[in-house]
Amino acid sequence: MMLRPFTVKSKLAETSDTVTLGFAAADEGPATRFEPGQFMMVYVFGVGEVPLSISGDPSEPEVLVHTVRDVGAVTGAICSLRIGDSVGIRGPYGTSWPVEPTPGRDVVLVAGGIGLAPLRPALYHLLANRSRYDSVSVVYGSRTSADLLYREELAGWRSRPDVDFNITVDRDSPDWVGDVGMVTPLLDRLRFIPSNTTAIVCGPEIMMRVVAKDLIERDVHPDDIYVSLERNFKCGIGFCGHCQIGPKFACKDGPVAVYSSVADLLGQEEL
Amino acid sequence: MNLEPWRARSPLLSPLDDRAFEFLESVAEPMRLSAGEVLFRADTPANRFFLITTGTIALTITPPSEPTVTVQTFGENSLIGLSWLLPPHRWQWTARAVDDVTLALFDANPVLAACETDSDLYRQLLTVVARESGRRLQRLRIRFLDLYGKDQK
Repeated sequence: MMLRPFTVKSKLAETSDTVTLGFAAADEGPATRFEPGQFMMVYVFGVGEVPLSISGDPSEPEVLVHTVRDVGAVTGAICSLRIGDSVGIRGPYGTSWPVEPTPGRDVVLVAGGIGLAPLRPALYHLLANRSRYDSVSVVYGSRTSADLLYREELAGWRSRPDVDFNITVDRDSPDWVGDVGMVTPLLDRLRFIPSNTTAIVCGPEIMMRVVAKDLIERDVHPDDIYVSLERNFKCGIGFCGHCQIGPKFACKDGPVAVYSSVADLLGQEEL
Repeated sequence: MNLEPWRARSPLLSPLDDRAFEFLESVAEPMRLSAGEVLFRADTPANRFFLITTGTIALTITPPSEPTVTVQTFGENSLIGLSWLLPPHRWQWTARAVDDVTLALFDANPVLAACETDSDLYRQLLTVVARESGRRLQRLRIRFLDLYGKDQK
């Protein structure tokens, strides 16, 4: 897939080290249609290329939205981009979250930290088609209240009567009124029918394993739990092997994977 | 107090057999707290335990000359109070209502008295408290990892 030129159209500081950028194609090509959970390879000229999950609304493909945390040279350069700056983008790549509605099915989303970004397109899709699902529950864990993403949208999502939206932070602070602790205890409060539930989990790998284990203890079937594989993506199309996890390529067989298919791979040392 | 609505998902009630469950129902009393009210204070006698039926309870500590810090919160179906079962029978944290809360209150005295003569009941309750302590320890260990911190990405 060819690298296409894109221009920064919008920029919003989410936290001290995380920004959300909107990119518009600088050529005459078609809009970049994507499925929730897919990622793009974003190239900063003269610096390098990184995979970034798409965090925007799949029904608005004219602008590619990425939420980026400054964790290295390339992501740092992306966070420093200004409106009007150019980058090269190719994609979308990878598998997607299972958001196609199955009437009457409960959906549980669990996000940890920056893991809310790849889940946001799925949430947009669920909310746009809300009547086609049964219960929709979200649990979002953050380090502190200062690290919460999408603050304005969070307020809107939490006020919706048709979504059970829960937030917890690892560390209390004077400005925080709400839950403190891991995401897993909040799962105990959610109302869903385990045998009728699709769970979508995105965050640090250890968190995803713990959440999956708790959901399985609550009788959610491992085939109905979806997680996001995070490895060092390089080519994005399953050629280079940088993101190989056992027999799988995280970029091609993932990032979204059924938990039952990767449970044995997650947590293995040196994989 | 009828505890059937919480039986299936409560870590306190779900492991109990019918006899133990019915015994706890017989000693349970409903209780309400308004937001901000203290359920119990640290270093006072732990002679009760609770099942949250609605709302959220925070375990807190107040450092000298600093605002109160919440260590962990607990919501519906949670067991509050583990210190009643084993010596020294004193609360380790202060528990406060985050919002309006309803609970099932269990007086530990008749429960402990029954345990004196009913080893099966004691075993079941000890198992509940040990399992819940273990779950909380595991979760705390994972919080120590600071998973959402920058160096973990």
